Amino acid sequence: MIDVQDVVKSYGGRRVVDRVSFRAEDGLVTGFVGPNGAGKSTVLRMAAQITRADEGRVLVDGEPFGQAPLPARRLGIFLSAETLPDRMTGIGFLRYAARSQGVPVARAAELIGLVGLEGAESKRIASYSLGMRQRLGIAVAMLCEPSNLVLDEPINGLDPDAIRWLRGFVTGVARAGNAVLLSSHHMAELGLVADRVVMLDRGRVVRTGSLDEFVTVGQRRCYIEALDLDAAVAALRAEGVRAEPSRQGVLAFDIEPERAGAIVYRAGGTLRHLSSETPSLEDSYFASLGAAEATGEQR
Amino acid sequence: MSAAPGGRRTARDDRRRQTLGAVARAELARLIARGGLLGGLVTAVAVALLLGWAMTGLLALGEAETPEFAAPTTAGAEAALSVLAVVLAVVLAVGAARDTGTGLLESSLALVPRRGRLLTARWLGVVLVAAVAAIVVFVVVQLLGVVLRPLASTDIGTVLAVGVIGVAGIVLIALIAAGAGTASGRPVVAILVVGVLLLVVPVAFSIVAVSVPSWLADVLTTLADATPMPLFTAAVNATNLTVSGPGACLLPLLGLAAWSAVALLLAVLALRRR
Repeated sequence: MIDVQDVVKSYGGRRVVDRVSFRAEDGLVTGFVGPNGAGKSTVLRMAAQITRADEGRVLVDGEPFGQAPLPARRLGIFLSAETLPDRMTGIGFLRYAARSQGVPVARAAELIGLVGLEGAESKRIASYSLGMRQRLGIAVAMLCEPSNLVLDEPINGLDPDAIRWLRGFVTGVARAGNAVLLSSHHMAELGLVADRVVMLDRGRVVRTGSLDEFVTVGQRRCYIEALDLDAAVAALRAEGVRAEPSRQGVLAFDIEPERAGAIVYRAGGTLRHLSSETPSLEDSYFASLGAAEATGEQR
Repeated sequence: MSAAPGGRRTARDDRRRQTLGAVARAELARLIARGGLLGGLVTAVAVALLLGWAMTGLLALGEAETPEFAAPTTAGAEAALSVLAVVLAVVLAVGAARDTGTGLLESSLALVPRRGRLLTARWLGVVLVAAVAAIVVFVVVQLLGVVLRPLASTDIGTVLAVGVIGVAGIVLIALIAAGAGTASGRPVVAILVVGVLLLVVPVAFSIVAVSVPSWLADVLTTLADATPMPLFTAAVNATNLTVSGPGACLLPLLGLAAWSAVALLLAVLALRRR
């Protein structure tokens, strides 16, 4: 479990992380979301002790990461493709990582195969594409099958096949009883794997909860297709319902499908399709962000 | 990408601990691997050997003309080690700065979160590499001297002492360079710092000392003599050792140790600030 306790970090007098607390529980994938500059990467770097917290602390399985007997076994980390050493070869860097943990260097070759970098392992990392760098970073994080995994924007640059693999990988790691903390801007992807979501904005946690709890912050809405769409929209708006054209139909907000259907029917419309829609993680993310901004402006 | 995470973990894995030895081995292997410093190290040794060979040849020619002025047997090796010190310092300072400035330090910290352990391992690698380079240069040039300069004679004890002091001196210069490189964080700055410290300051002070009042000249000369390269040449010097005794070589070596302690301390402080 990764336990972030009241951490604070300032750079040049500007507080970039402001009393952030949350937990990434064992057995769950915790999605870590927020706009650029929200402080996500700083929190993740504090978890890995690469950045020191001004106040507060981060415990990994009950103790600071630095006290782990075998670090790569306690916490697998991939923070950025840019931090990989350009001059080294992929296999060279993996061997270095393996040696540093006292793991047989043969593990490096296994990981190259596992992340699909065969044929490129002896090339310098400088020649790698973003996707290849991501794969290498994930391979290093997987080195000792860690009990906790922190991945910062791992989907960037991956092809669809690799994204699908990564999805299976992180859920597999979590289902094996490990904690996974996954930061990403790809809400659709995150929505497929995250069990819990922690949302950060301007250095503060603005929302946290299970994925189900998180998405209910979005509005209830239903999707309607009718033969005379303009008449249907007019009827809904006449009843004070917010209705917006979408795809081949109209989205009606804050209304049950039964009532929306009845309004269109009473106005003489012919329904072709009627369904309720659950807001996506992306919808909920923007709704939460809007609410946080409104709160911030009021403050 | 093919496989999902499996149950590879074993009880043995859970008992395993990261050790300084493992990290040091990783750092040493990285230093001499492709993308490490192997090219720079080989260049440094080659340049030193070349100069040592040339110096030995010149001494042999001079001694053939005037046998009564034969220099110590170690003279060629002393010159070669001085060149090795400068070139190796540049190579190691650039390497350390590159590691710090690029992402390697961050990637390493994710694997070795104890900074003290990581830096100690990194500097142990530097010590080993520098020692091996110094031994190779000293032994090869010394053997050349034995073959090419039959008129030179120095007792074996002095030769061994110069060799040991030379290796220690090279190691201390290497640590100064590694510390300066880590503290600077940028290869260009590292080259400037090492160049100024090892060459520019002693040479400039010595030149200026010629044209200033004697009291100021004394101060400048003392300052110049207290910089790493003059300390190194004073320490690795068979004549100094035989004429003035071991103290004349060990004191400069202590001076070098103080310089390296300061450089490493600066590196630690710089990393703490990052």
